[in-house]
Amino acid sequence: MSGDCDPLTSDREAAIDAGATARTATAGAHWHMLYASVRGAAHRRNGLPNQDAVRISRTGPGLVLALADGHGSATSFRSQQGARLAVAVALQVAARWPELPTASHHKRRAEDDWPKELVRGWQAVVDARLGRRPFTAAELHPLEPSARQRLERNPRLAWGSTLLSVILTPSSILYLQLGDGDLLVVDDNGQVNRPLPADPRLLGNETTSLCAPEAWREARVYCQTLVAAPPALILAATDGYANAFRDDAGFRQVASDLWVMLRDEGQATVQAQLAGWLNETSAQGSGDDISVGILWREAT
Amino acid sequence: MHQLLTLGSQLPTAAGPCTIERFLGGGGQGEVYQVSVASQPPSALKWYFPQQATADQRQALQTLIRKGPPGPGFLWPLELIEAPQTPGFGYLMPLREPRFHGIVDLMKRRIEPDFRALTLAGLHLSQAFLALHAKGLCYRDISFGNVFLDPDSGAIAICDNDNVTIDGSDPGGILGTPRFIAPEVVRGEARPGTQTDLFSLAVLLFYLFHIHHPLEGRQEAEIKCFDLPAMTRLYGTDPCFIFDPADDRNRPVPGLHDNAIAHWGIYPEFLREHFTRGFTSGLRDPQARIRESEWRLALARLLDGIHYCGQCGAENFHDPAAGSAGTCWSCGQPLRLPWRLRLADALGGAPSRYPVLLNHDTRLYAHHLDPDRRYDFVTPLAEVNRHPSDPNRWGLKNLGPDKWVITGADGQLRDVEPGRSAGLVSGLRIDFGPLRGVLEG
Repeated sequence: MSGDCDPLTSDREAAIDAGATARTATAGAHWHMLYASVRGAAHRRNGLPNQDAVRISRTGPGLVLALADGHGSATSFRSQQGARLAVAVALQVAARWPELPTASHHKRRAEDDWPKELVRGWQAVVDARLGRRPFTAAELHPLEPSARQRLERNPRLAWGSTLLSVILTPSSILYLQLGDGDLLVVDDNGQVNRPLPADPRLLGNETTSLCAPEAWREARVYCQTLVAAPPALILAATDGYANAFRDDAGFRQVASDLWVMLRDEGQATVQAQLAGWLNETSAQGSGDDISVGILWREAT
Repeated sequence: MHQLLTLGSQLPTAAGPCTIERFLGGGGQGEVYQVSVASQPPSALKWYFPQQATADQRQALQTLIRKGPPGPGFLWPLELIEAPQTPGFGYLMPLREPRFHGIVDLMKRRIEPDFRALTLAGLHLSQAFLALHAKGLCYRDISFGNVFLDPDSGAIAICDNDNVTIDGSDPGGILGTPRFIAPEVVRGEARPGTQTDLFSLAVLLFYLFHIHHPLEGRQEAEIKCFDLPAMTRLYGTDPCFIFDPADDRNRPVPGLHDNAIAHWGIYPEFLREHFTRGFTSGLRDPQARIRESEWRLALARLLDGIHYCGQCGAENFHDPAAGSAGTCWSCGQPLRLPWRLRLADALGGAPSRYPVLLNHDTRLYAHHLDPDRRYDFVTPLAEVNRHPSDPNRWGLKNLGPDKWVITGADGQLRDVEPGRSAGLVSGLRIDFGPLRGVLEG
């Protein structure tokens, strides 16, 4: 992949955090989608940008949700861009997803190829950007010698980001997680589940990342074959959201509450308030950027 | 996340009602639950999605249950389960023990078995597929999604056996996992069978030993989208082994395929030759593929050639084709070989080219001392031990039921009764019965 394939233009970058709502039919149901991303309270205080990115789009086999969290550390000084590139690449990869006859085919493609395409795509555009715009003295000046050495060994670290993605196909729902963040699923009874179990490698501020040399090995994938009713709501969030809660139960309750509100009060009401709720949560909790992407369907 | 059965509900089995306890996972064909029947240990129950619960699948299951498992290591269907109020059907099978991890975990380095465990896993796999094929069955869908291993012992568990069919009987059904399918199946020229299983087995073994696919080199690195035409070209119409000595179009790319580059040179020539043959002539000619018994023999030799670096302790493989002991792959220091036992047919056959290296923890099993005995890594017949009062003296202890006869440098014959040891002395001859060995050191 060359620099010509860079999936971002300045227009698109500006649009990514704006949030959107839409309605589409796939996976045997009519799905609504909404997303929002807010700059963390601590980031505002410290003059840091929002280093998350999120997008939901109709594409390829149905719908794709992509959400990324730039590492934001001193070494990852281009991670705002890294997160946006991750989301853009995830949409590109989903747009190329072939039509496949069965859920088994989707499962195998998701497990075998999806992580590799995402990681290679992201790494290729990052490499192209580095070629076009090498690190400047101003970017490197604040870094400790050890951090500079790490960057010399792996320049992609400057763009370091996580990635969560969900693809809805007619026969299955595919979930992918690389790095920290949360994927929650709410069923018709309001029960909240995680499609991917907790990853013991994600302790404290440690996270797996798109910038690791063989990062596709770290991606975790789950394929849910659709038989009866699909989930009522799928929520993806950067770790700033869960970290704002005292415990996991409190965070999981949010997914269930959002579903009830969406069902009872409608998409427009929730969309209008979502960014405000996230700002409030960041201010009272983690102080981190918070981004969420939500796919939900009305009860049949 | 389960959709088919309700937790806590019961289904009838031959041994009484089984209770659905826990959802274990879902795939493309159905969902698997942990179930318990009366006071028996828990089992696993696979329940098919409605579109997969076909009459053909039901009949195939009944055949497999009637035939029984080909050998240990198969989590084989035990009983067909149906219930009047629950649509579809499923089957009971043994529950996979927690010690078994997916090969995917190996690929992602969530488990790091040592070379001995890896080699044993490869040997057990070859043995398992030999047993399956000997029953006239073929697996059709060998991949790392349905093979599990114990990273400590190298034991294996093979799942998803409901896709097994009688060789040549299947006009439709599952085609396999794209990366593991034989090229002629990818091209649509053949159906999965025993010969295509052999290709999949070779891919799986290459994955085990290199944590990489044998056909994924430069050609794969140039693919941006793994769509059907790209996959068909790579694995079907233009497959090229990444270490093909006569074709360098598809060499592994540094930075992308480092595992393959790092591992290839660690293994002895005879193993590399097996992979080369399997993925050059074996790509084009199904009859040229390495048979399960050939893999088993090669991997038994590989196991016998493991020894430890005296500097860093890393496991190294002795290469009989190399002129010297070589250097350690891990620390780069020169290696020194331990005592070696070179076995030969007792009736005057030539000594083996492949000695058994005698490390502090080496054990000899039935197949070492009698070529007609089965491969069995449970009951050792001999082990290296240290003299109880002189730690510099080492011996080989007779753990079997039969006495050995040793011949010293002075030509004197002596018996080594069960429970006794023969001291390790260069040139010592040990008569084990069907085979005799000479110590080198």
